[in-house]
Amino acid sequence: MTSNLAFLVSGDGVFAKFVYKNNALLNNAHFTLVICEKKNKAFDYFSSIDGVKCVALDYCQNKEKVDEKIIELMNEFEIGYVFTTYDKVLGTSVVDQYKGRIYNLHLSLLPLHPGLNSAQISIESSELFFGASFHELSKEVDQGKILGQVILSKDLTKSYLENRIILIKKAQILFLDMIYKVLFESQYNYGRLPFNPSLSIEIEKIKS
Amino acid sequence: MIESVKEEFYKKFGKDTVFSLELTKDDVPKWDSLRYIAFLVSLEKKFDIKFTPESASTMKTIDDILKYIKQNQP
Repeated sequence: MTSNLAFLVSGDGVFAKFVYKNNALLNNAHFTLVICEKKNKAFDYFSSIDGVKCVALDYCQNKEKVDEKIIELMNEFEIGYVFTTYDKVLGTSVVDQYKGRIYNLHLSLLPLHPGLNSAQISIESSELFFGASFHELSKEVDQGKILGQVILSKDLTKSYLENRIILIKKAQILFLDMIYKVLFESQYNYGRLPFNPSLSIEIEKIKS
Repeated sequence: MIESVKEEFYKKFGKDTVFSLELTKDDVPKWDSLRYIAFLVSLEKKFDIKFTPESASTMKTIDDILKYIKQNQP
């Protein structure tokens, strides 16, 4: 299995950028391909990096054509694993091709708050906890097997934005650590519930 | 007020960009959502205000941010 990695990103790609900055902690797994939902801040950032192929999609096209393009890129670059922080729903053809090798970071404690705007909804809810989930991507939106979560106690004295910063920073670490686990520990965990909930990467080594 | 906003702007985004009221995220090379939120949080503390999620996502320029602060300061 190739360890070429692909990232599907929306917005400014703050999670993929975090992984890229810390790629050395992933034993330099090959950060190969970034597919952006459109020409956005993430596209500006990754398209300037040598050795990383960055492509912006065109969702004005027929959705099947976009899915075909994604698969074509994955095949061209021999992608082994796909990690998404993506606002678009991927087609069945993409999910099927990468079954068991495509994962998503979602900003809520799934199964609570699937879908868009989950971070805002969970921070503004009356729930005392909020967080992020890393899960296998399945055909049903945000319904795949949950492999890891970060659970945060809501500080009601803090503003919405302060809680949001805490969530993003902790979710970045979860994303990086779960990618490490998928790449280097999954062979030891097959068939058992998911992963050691402790961090596999030493927190002191992570660049923010 | 504008000097305080400018000071926080430079702290969060660096001095590569010339500060102006018309600036948008596309004009700021170091802009990302995390820095932007940190910038707004620093303004919340400085001016004793709270940005709503809707305001944080709809403000496009520095001028929009200044107007929001003026309208919501105690």
